[in-house]
Amino acid sequence: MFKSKIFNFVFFSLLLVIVFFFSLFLGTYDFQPLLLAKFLCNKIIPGAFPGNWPDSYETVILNIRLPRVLLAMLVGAALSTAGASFQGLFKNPLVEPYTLGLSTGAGFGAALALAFLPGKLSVSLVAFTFGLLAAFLAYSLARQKGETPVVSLVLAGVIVSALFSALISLVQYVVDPLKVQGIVFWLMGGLNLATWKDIQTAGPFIMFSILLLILLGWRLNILSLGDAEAKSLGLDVEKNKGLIVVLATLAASCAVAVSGVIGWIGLMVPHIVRMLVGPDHTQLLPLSALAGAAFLLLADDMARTIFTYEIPVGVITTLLGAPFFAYLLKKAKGGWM
Amino acid sequence: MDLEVECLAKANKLTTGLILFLALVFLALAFWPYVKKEDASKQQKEAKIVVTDFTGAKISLAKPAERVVCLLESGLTGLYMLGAKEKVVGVNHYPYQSHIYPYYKALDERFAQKTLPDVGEGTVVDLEKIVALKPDLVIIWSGYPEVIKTLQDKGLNVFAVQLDNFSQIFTEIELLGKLMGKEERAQQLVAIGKKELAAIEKEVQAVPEEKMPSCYFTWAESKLDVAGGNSTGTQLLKLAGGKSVTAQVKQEHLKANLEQVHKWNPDVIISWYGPNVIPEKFYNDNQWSDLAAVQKKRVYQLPDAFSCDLWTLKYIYGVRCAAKYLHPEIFSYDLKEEKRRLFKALYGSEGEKVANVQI
Amino acid sequence: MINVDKIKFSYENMPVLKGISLEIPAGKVLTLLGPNGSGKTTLLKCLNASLKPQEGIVYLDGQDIWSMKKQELAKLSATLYQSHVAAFPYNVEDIVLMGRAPYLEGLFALPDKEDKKIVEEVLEELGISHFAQRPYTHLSGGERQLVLLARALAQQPKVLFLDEPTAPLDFKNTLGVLSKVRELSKKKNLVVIMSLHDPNHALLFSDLLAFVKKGEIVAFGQPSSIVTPENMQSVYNVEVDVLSHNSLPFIVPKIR
Repeated sequence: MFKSKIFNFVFFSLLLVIVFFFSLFLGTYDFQPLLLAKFLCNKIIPGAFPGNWPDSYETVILNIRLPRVLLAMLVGAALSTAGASFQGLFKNPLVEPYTLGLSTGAGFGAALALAFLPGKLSVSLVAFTFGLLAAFLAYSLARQKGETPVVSLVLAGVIVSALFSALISLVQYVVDPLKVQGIVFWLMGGLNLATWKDIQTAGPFIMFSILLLILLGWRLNILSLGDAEAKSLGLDVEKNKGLIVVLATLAASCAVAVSGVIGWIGLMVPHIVRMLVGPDHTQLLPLSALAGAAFLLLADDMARTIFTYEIPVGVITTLLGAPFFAYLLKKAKGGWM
Repeated sequence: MDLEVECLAKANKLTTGLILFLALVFLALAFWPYVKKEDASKQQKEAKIVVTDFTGAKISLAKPAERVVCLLESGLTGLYMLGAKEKVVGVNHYPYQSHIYPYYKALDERFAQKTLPDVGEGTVVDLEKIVALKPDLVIIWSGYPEVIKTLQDKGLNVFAVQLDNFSQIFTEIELLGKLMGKEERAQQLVAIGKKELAAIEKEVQAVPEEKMPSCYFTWAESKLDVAGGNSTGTQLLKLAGGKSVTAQVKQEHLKANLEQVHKWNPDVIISWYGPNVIPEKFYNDNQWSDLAAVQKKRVYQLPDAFSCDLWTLKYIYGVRCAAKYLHPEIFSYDLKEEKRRLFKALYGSEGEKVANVQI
Repeated sequence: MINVDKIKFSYENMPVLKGISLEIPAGKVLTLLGPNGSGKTTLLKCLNASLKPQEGIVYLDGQDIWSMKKQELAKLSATLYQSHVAAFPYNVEDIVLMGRAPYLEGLFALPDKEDKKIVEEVLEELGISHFAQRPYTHLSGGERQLVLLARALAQQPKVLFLDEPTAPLDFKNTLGVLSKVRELSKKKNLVVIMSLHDPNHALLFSDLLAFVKKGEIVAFGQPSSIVTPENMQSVYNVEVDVLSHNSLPFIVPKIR
């Protein structure tokens, strides 16, 4: 079914649009559909369809639900595209955007901010900085004689992750437990505190990174052949690898900074899309972005409506992700091809 | 398929250019603040009530708060003490938890009927629910800066609480009193609290230092989760006339090791409410059997988390309990009676009913 | 066409190539023969610029390969590696298209109609057009090798390096690939340098032969003249008889 490139784009775009509107209308607050439709039209074309809706429509839809929905799309797209990029670079469909230690680094940054400077320094900013730092550390660690072999990158990521994980535990131990209770929530990942400010700070960088990564799709194909072969095809492997790592890490770091650690999206979505449309990254990257946006949106919808109280969206993605992966593992019977 | 290839080939150059252009537009957006800030001046115009919270933020209200969403259970209890019960329109999840819930059922019919909305806990709060309740004040713990920022971003007044020592509890009551328009009652509560403390202090001061039992306070996680010098647990012991072995320790919370405890060899151990630190756990553990406190059977546990809540005026009940454990000859009152008396004074008419709640 | 001038290479102070010089004209197939560890692969890697020799220069079409930009070099020289680890199930078409990478200028450049046409031609030439839309991981070892060969040819190189290209192939496929390579060499005037382990294959499909022993070329020239029992004994330490069949030489080891 997914043989035609044009069909694929239309399919995933349409999917996202449908999920977007569905999510916008979903929620604990009761809306009257017709009145809501009028309200939205009025917002887009000022003056059209006047009606009397309660003030809270403005606050809830425009100020709470819309930024949340948009943020879910941005974060989902960022994580999926970054995941797809890393999977291509590492020649391994089991890799996540957090492989270089990004999530634990960011978690440590958040713990620091919560423990020592609550309110003074933005948790997002410190988390973002440490996320980048961790990834950079892993990359430098893996560099040998001007080359970064994949195995070294993965191992370096494990080392850096472990290091920051231990540091997080240390912070939790040394500081008054009440102060760092917030870190537990942060590590679970959540979109419920989305504001337009988050979209402003993270959105542009995420979009910038995703768009550039999409343009580098064909190069990623070549890089996925392996360093030796890519070199023999004339590519400056280190520069291209570095560029892609920087862009993917930027996108993922921004996502983590505004939404905490949401796992499995970066792993599952590229994998599913690749199974449907094939591994050509010129298609895989943009479609992963669209699919990731839709996927996280649906997960977040579940997070806020399945029970009467909110649960962190990271819990949903993991609860769905693990069994799904088990199913894939069984189905693939050991061979991914 | 071939036509598609043709189209795609032509579209390729165009698309690449377009995408590149978009990418640059987004990069530019990153540096242009297109989100307008709320017009803050609007609020300050007719601010009759101006209060500074524990993070230094200013809260301005035109009149006393009528609809409060309280996300901090210790603040909630303060509101009930102030007699502002009807003004509470939403709470966090914690008061609905099993070991606290019976108390709130006794305090407020709405808890019993579960009609008081539960908006979530910690950072996982339902923003839409909170906004739908149209509160003019939200009370929250200062340890969730992200939530505070988000609530403020939605235009809500947020009062953040951070209590580092007991005297700040009095400050909190006064500030809340001001915000709720219950200043007189707030003064009353402060006076009651201070009177109680003075009474205990008078008795305690009469005890010579050599007669003060050595002791330490342990939290609920384990027998070795000891309260350090600055901690509220240690402060409690001091007020109750105990000589804490950790008084000079700089840390707030330390994981002691068994040898250290043996070196201290305290006369009395007082623990917070929790299944891991009931006195039997100490008495039945043969590694603790030679300690003075264990041999003299002087390990005590505070009754429950609600009645001795160290973040509220009820800490005074905690002090009374500890005082009795430390100096039974001086403080010979019945703890149940004390609870009733204190709760009547603090909670007013429902006080006795609340005091009689059994966990 | 290829001029190798006294190259020496050591891996961390262990000398592997001890001074090699070669001259190979266009349109010829040169096979490197020698036991394991003789330096065949290292030599190939020095010639295709994967490794840089500590001494000496390699000239391709008159240019020093190390003074060229990698992208330019890739338009002249293509390599078929011994082991290819397939990470993703790309279509045969897409794999071969990747061979056009050296000709794409610009960070975001994509292959155009011309590139796609060249791919079609190469697939046709190797007789694997009907596989174009298939994932190359679904093919047999021999077919996959042809795909990788196609990719190398899509680079439109003047030199083709093949490192033990027949290692993963069965009997029939080996003959097929090697004869194809020789045919292409003639047709496109390509220099082909390959390393093989079977001297008989070398005899059947090469124009030139070089024996590599302990990092040096101990014999170089026309296969029929340098494949002698003496050379075989000296290089492989194996006793052989050289026989002739249909005026083609072949080697039979003396087994007791």
